[in-house]
Amino acid sequence: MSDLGGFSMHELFRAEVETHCAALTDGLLALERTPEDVSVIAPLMRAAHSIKGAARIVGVDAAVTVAHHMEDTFVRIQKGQERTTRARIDQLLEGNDFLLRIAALPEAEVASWSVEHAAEANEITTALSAPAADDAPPAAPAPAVPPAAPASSPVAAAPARPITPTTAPSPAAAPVAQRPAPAVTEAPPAAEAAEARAVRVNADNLDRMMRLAGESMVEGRRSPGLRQALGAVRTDMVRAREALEAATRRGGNARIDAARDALDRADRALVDRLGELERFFRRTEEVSTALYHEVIGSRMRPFGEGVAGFPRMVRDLAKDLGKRVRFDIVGTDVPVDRDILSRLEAPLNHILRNAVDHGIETPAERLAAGKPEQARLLLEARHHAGQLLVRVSEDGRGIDPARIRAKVVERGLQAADVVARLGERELFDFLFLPGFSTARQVTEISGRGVGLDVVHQAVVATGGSVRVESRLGAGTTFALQLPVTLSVVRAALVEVADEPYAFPLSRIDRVLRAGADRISSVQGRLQCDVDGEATGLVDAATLLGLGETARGNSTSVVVLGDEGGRVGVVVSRFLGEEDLVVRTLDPRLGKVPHVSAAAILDDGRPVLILDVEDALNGLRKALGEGTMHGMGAADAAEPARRAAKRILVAEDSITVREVERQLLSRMGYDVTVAVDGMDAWNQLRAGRFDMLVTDIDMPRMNGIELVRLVRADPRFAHLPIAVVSYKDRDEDRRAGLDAGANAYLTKGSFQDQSFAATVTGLVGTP
Amino acid sequence: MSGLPDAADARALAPVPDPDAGLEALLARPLADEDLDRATAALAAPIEHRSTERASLLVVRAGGELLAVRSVDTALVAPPAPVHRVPHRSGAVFRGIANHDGEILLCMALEAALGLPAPAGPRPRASLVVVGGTRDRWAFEVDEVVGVVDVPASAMRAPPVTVAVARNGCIATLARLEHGEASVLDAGALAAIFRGAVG
Repeated sequence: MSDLGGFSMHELFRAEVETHCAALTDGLLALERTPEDVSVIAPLMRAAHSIKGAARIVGVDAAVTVAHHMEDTFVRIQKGQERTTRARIDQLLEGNDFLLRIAALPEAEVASWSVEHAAEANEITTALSAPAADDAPPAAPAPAVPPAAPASSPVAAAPARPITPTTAPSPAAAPVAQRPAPAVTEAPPAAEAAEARAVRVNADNLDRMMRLAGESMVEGRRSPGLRQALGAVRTDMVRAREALEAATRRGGNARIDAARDALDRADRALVDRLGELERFFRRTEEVSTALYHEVIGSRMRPFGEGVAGFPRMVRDLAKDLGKRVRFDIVGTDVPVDRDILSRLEAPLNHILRNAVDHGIETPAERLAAGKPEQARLLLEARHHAGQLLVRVSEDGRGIDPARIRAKVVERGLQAADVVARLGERELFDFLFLPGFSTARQVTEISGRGVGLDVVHQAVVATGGSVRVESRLGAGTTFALQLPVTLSVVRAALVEVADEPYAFPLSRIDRVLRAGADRISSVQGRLQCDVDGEATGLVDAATLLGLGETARGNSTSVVVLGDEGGRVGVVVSRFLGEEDLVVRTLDPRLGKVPHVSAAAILDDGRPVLILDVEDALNGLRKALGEGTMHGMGAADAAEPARRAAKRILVAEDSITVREVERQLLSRMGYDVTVAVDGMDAWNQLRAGRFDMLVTDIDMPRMNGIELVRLVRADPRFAHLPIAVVSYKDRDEDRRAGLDAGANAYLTKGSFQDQSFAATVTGLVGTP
Repeated sequence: MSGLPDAADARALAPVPDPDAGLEALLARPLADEDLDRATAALAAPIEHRSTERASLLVVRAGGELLAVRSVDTALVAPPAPVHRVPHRSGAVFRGIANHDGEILLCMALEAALGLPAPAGPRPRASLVVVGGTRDRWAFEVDEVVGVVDVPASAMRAPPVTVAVARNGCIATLARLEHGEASVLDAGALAAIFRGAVG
């Protein structure tokens, strides 16, 4: 039970009025839609009665009077003493608004406000007391041809009814109780559906849970390394047993037999433990993955929660414009990320207003066009293929492609011959350009040429897309495709300046490895041929202020694009694709240019997620100001020359020296060899090297002496040094590291990739 | 109103003597006002900390010097983690971000912040030390964690003014330890330098 002790009586009154008024709005709209459904009346009576009681306790007489008259009206409707008309619904909604306004006032202002608005209260109560205006009942027949909707949707289930003109005798003349039960089943009000399952969770707690759930999954995925290591132990044991068996065959004795038996037992035990470990790892991974998905899921809210205000908005707007609209929402319980839900409200609001204002005809126009007087407007949400699809469709006048073509040519956006060849989909995309409107008349509601571009921007900023489908005379549909959650983003991972970065997949056109044949120079600037289009190249490292990207034989390019055109961003290499849990950057960093968020990779390393919009904008600004330029041919040659990082290998054994030289050369490094420590020291001082790889035991100057000498020289204080030796005792390792080496490896590392990994880790990619 | 019966009344009213009744009556007896006041005052009195007498310090080695952070200012000590530079932000003092148990930490170069010699080469460091509160944590790597020591006030002394000024006012006191004299860092002043480096 919540503690209400901290609230004043007036605050409690306000909370109660808000709750009941929300129920009144939902119920009145439902009653307007299906006036024959008397089951909605009882909750409305209870809501009005509760408000009346609460208002009496806090002494807000104006609210008592209005609520009382509303309750009386509901009683009359329930008893069949009056029928529900649109005018009556309007009056009741006005009463509802009055109650909300009075409850929202500071306590001290209630008395004076009540006096000032006494006339308004009087108007409402007088209207409610008077007999209902004799207009048509609010429920209009469904159109003969309902708009396309999923077979399972309640809208599609509505039976077609004959068109009833407004002047026809009202079917509502029959007693209310005798009317047939409605065939259309409505989704429960969004708030009701949501409240049944929702609990409040502290956002910080949720973030910490997400963090730990993600980390738990990362840890779960690390287990294969341990599994492989144990597998290697077992391989060694199998080899040892084979060696023992070979020795036995050559003339075994009891000791060898005993050793072999012991080894067999150990092997069997190891196999058993490995099996257990395997099951444990699998289970841990399953549980941690499930936990992670559950925690991510806790960010989800029902779609209906974000669109609860639209039915009233559409209803009032249609009334103001003299239109008849039946508005349905399908998929109120579809889970949507709470951030996406909040960002959807503005674009949907605009699309719905546009639909009522421009898309839907007046009743007279509809009748003349052979359509039902009442238009259908459907807002629908569903998940499809890992995406959230939101559609707003109406059966209005549709968009005339000829008018858009004319407008495009008139604005000089495209040549007439090009426009003539455009398909409808390409043509409709012009609607999202800033300032593009085909509305003949600017109204208070829409048609100012602003809005659809804002809709487009808002949807794109959420990582989604929007398109229009329309058939002249039959209606228009806006289809929004959005990520299900902003918490997880599918990203292309790349390496820039030896560190991982992520491009959200939804924000990139494509990635490609371009050979020299696809790259050419125009006025000294490099361009790449992408689908026949010349795409300028820029260096990701330069853009991020991290130096320059070295290019090898092929260039890794991430192609980005927006209305301003395409740009190819050159990265060091592609690392793959991964689902990343998006983490906001530490606020102490402020807005980091071109970076939108951070994440943790599967291997536990942090990664930065790039803000593609910001990067493109920043790029264009920098190019315009001349503070940055496209990747030039000279840049390409220079990094190529510098690309091969230089490694000095000091080793007295010609065989080992050659193995190391070949290994490193194959990796792409520029390798120079030295035959002993003294030779290496002389070469180091004479040339420029990025890394030193040295043996320990060498004539003239051994490896330890070499490392000490190198470290004592300030010029080489930061030079990465790896010692590679046959000596694998702890004291040898310690001696090497104490002398100043960054890594100590044994020569066995040549086989198991650890040599290559250590070199790359210390000096970076070639 | 008659109020609660006193112990004698309770005994007189009980038809059968109950061995626990006396104890219950004693416990149920209302406190005298002066007792209540005394107990309230005792509870309300500020708790006396002994921090002025002794200090618990986390002692580390970095930049070739013995440094210490008060244990109360230390959030955790963890193994070092890979640091990812942050474009247009990373510099001499702010190295980048690092992951610890799913928390993305801002990783700083303590030596650079204090003007000490930089560590030689990209050699692995011993530990990651995190200082500060929940919303103002800062991580930095050190070469060695010597341990946590309890130091008496008598072992503390003010740093020379040359050090205090040179190190941006980050050295609060000097603490004589068995390993040598450690510079005790003022976590607030250190956080101020770190904040200046990331903004």
